[in-house]
Order: sequence, then C-alpha cells, then structure tokens
Amino acid sequence: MIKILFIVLQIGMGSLFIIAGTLKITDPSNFLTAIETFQLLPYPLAYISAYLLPWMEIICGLALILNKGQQSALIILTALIAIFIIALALSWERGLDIVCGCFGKPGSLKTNYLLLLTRNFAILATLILILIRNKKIVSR
Amino acid sequence: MNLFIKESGLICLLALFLSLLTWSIHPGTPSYYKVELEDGEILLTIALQSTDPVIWIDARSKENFELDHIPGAILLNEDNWEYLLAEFMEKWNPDLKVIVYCDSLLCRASKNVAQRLQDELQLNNIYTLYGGWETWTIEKK
Repeated sequence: MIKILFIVLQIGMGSLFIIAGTLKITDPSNFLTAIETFQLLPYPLAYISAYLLPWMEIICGLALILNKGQQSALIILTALIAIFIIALALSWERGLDIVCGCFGKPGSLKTNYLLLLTRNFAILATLILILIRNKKIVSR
Repeated sequence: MNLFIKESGLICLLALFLSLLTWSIHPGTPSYYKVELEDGEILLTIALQSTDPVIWIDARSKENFELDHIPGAILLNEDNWEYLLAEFMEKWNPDLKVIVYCDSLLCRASKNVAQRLQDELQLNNIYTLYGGWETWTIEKK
C-alpha cells in the first residue's frame, strides 16, 4: 500500500514538474520577466535561467516518471525548490510584488506569498519524503 | 556519490543542450539587453498578465489606427484632442488601467498623451507601453 502511494507521489511530482517546465519553456520571455521581478539575479544569469530551469524541471520530471536516475533528479529538484523558497522569502521581506511564473502566465499581479510558500513547502516536503524512502530502499 | 555526479552532470548537459536548441529556434526569444523602463512605462508581458481591466489608447495617427490596432483600443492623439478625448471619456471609468501606445520605442506620442491625461483629468492609473505598436506586432506574430 505504502509502495503504491510512493509510486503515485513520484509520478505526481514528475508530472507536476513536466507541466510547470513546459509552460515556462513555451514562453521564455514571460518566464524571464518573472525571474526579473525577484531582482536577485543579474540580467545575463536571469536570461540563461529562463531557458535552463524549465528544461531541468522537464528532464528531472521525466526521470521521476521513468524511474531512471530518480535519486539525482530528486536531489536537483529539492535544491531548486529550496532555492526558490529562499528567493520567495527574500522577496517577501523586501516587499516586492513578484510574478511567480511557476505555471506559465499568472492569474494576478498581486503576490500571495503565504499561498506560494505553503505550496512550495508542500512540494519540498513531498520530494524529501520520496528521497528518504528511495534511499532506504537502495541501502537495504 | 559518483553515480549522483554522473547522473546530475548528464541532466545538466541535456538541459543545456535543449536550452540552446530552444534559444536558437524559439520565435519568442527575449531581448539580449536588459530593458530599462522609464517612469510609468509597462512591459507588454506584464500588461497582458494583469487581471485588472485595461483600456488601450492608440496615440498614433488616425491612418495607422485604421490600418490596424490593438483589439478594443481607442484612438486618442493630439491631432484631434478635444473630439477624441470626449470619445475616450465615454468609455473610461476609474477602475480601468489606461495603457497608451504609439509606434515604437522611439516615438513620444504615448508619453505626451499620457501626460496630458494626467494633467487634464488627474488620471493616475495610466501607463505607456514599452516598445509600442511594434512590440505588439512582434509579440502577436
């Protein structure tokens, strides 16, 4: 039962990142604008990230679904989400009105930091859970 | 650890390759230089993301407006200010975000119209579109 639950979680997380990455890479200008609203990266780095991050999400998402290199994919995704949470917290602290850009075009320009942080902490917790579970299975 | 380095290296390389491929073939490649917005300017991507109701003001000539314009835009230029202003006032309400555009990056008509609207009607929810009509046509290709 628990095994099935973790398979569903892993495929669910994989699908989530594939959808998020695909929505971003179809409109890199829009995602670049979203990165720029955080005011954390210099423009050239933001420009590279606008192309690189969506593909990282898609490839890691595929790795989770196909069960190939999933531990590395989980570590990368966990790191990306952790960095994003820090970026969100910094923006909140600085009072910025950021555009999440998480799933392509956002519905509103008003930033709901609490919702964004809650959502990303939930994703982070799920990734860590899957990571720990997979590690236990590998080390057995 | 070795496996992680190998796999994550492969993921990064693959992502880099696909990024370069996307960058070279995607029609919506962003500008290579950072856009520095002046006061009151708004990017098209931001304008289109806004859920606030928007009224577009076309500050170009009547001829250009009749050739083509942003859907729903109202003509308001300084050539026939009093008459066009009355038409604008019929459609304007305080909840609308006003975005004025002219031909391109180089034109000043949108800035002049926005300034006059601010001065004469004390509008404050007013912006000018960065890159103007030219940006719209590129974005909508």
